[in-house]
Amino acid sequence: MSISSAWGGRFRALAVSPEGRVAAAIAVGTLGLAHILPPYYVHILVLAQIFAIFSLSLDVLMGYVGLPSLGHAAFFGVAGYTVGLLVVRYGVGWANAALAALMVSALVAALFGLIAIRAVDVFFMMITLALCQILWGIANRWGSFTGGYNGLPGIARPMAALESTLVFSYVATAVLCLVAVVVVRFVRSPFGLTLQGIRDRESRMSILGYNVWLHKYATFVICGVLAAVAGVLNAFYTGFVSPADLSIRMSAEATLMVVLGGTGTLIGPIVGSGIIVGLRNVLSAYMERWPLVLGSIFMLTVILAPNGIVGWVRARRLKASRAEPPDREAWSDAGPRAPISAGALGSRQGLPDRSGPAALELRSASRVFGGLLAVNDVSFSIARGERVAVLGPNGAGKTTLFNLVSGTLRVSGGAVLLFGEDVTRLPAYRRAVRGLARTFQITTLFPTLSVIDNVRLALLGLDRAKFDMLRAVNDRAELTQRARTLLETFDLWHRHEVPVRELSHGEQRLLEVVLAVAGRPRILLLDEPTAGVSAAEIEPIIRILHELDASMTVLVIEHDMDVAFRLAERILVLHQGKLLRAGTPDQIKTDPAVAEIYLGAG
Amino acid sequence: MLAWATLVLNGVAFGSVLFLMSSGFTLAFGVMRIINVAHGALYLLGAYVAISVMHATGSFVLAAAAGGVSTMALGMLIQRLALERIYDNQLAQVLFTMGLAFVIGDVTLVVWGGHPQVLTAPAGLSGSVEFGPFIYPRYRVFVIILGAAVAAILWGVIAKTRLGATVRACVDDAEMAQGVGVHTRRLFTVMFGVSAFLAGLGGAIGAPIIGAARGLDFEVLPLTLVVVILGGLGSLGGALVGSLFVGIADSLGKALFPELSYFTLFAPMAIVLAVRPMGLFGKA
Repeated sequence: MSISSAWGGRFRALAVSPEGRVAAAIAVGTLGLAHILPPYYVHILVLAQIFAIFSLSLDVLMGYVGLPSLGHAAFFGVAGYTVGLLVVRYGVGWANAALAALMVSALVAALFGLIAIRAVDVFFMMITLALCQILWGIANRWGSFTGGYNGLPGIARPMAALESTLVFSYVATAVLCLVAVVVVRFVRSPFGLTLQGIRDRESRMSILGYNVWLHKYATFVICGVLAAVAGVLNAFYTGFVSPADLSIRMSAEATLMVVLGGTGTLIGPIVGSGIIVGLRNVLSAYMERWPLVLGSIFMLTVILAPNGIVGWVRARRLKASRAEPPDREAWSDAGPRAPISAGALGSRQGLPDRSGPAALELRSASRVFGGLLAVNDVSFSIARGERVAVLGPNGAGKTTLFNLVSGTLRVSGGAVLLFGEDVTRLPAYRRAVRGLARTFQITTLFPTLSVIDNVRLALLGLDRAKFDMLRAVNDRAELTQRARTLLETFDLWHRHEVPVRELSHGEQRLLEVVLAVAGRPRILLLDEPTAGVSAAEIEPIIRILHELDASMTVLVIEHDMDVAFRLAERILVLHQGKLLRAGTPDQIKTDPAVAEIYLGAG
Repeated sequence: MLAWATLVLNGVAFGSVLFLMSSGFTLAFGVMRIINVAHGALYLLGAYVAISVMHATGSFVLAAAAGGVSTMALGMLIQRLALERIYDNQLAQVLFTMGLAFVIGDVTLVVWGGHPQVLTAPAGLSGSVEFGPFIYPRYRVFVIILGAAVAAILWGVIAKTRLGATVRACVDDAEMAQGVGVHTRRLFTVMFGVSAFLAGLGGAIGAPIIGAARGLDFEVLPLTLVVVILGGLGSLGGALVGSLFVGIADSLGKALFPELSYFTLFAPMAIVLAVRPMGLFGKA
């Protein structure tokens, strides 16, 4: 194969991929507009392209990680100022200045991320807003260095040819296409999928083995650098930086572009930038009341079109395509099913080896909520491969106990050991790496993601590929195949493209188990796997639990005594936070103290 | 030495104004979980209204009252017309109030023009008081006393009255409060009104010192954010401590490092956040 044809093949692959189509659409659209429009509108077009890059970077943060920064202008402005200061004050060449600007912005994002990422929701918004205001304050008041209120004029464009607005629009188009390709690749990658998982259900992500903070932090820095790309372009294009680049209005405009176009849609912010930049420049020819218009659009969008323009269009299209009734076939009616293949649930078959340290050991573990001792001085040890049920009336502390073991909660006192290793101080995701998995009493799946993406996230949790930001997750044939095998084993494959929130309750409970066993854990905690499941749907779940790899240690909380006695070889009974009894099912069945707490004295 | 005392007292006076503002902000958050980005704009509106009423009537009491009452009415209206519809979506609420902030800011620009205006302190409060060699403006002494009085009143209402009990219940657990029969719709409207009132009153009381000018809305807002981040969102005591700290840090910072004074305000915030993300007095 010749080199040129190899490149041709690569090019064709890119051209038919989603990111290729996006880039082509942007390129054709904007280059076409640049040649049709009169010069003043070409100027607006360039600005719109710059802001499209800026708001795209914010959309990833808002729409994919659920971090609505109100201070995103920080990185746009810092990049602009770095270019301005280096070029105007120190005569640095444009390429070095641009590179330095990206690096400085990355540093600022790395610093701000350290402060802001720990906070959630409104706290994150407030902190990002306040942090950006610091920079604005410095730009404004440190006049001798930054040029103060008047800003820094006189940033020359890199080449003489770029003095032409039309030529600059080619550069802007190229950069926008590049950023769009990067962003589309990024969100379709395994890493992008983990971000959507975090947005949907952060707690489950840590249980699956993800260091949620790290994923958020990395994205925050990446989005900061992408915003800086827009800032660099803007500085060279307008030839001028000022505190306005760091102002709350700049952040707010980017936010509005995202929300108006449609958060998390990627096309939306591009549309939004076109509208906002267009309106701002066209209206300014007739009136000075831009903040009034901006504010009004903000309020109207939030109240009338919370999903934005693209979100609205998509919802309408979805409605139209759903005219025919959806396939609501229940999985339990799906006909006879093959026994679970050994490969799907782990290959370590045979008799469990029960020598060596215990799979799980609790030493005087306690947990206090305010004045309530939810778990009180509980000690026990579970051998490898043992099947243990935890019983106890409501409020006995069973779920709290599981939370202590999985790391969702920390113990107030005592110690937790996994396979002989003290994990008392380890967060949930690091216990997952050591082979611990669990299900939740209240279904805790990723509601907006498809069934197969839920399984993919479970499979990726312990896989280095979760950090891959470049290759589309759908293109990982081996990952898809593993997910498919698992889903086929559990009779859920025919539902693999359905968003999880549309599954029946029984299907969701089953998927809970699938996610927990996907990573082939060494120890599995099941918190009421059959809670709220109809009698018809209980049997398949129990059968699956029976067929789990014999070497897997299983702890199950179960309200249904019959189910518990069938599944477990040993029973722990909790009462008011204390371990009341431990014994074989037969011992527990005849224990008077257990009978008393379940049936009442009498 | 006297110069330092003056600086610190100036900081306390500014802190008093900040407390008026941030106590309103923190109350609205505590009860309704809303971050009101338009709080700075309400402050500016209150200042302008007070200046106009002062010009028209010559009464400082009327001016201050008008500053507070006008923003209170606006706040209650906004709550009923808009915020109520999106009460379950924090991001939407924040974005809505951000839009509102731009609109109010631009309207004040249309009505009062962009030039800085100052409210002249009334005759009884102008001039200075003398403590031996130490001379200090009488109006600033008044502001400090007023701030203390408002703090005492707020504390009394929250701790001793039935309204205060429902407020405390909502701050603790809004859902549960609603479950045991708190009429949240009315409470939210009242509390957003009180919150806006405090912002407007802050603008009016601060006007003789800080004045009113274009862009002031988004200059005081971050200061409020720093106050409540430092003190802990929803905590009245935190707002008081935070206000005094920010007021004094601002005053000293401007004197010592005029070009980096903003930094002296925000650096403590970053440090506090790193150590205690919920703020000094906030609950986890």
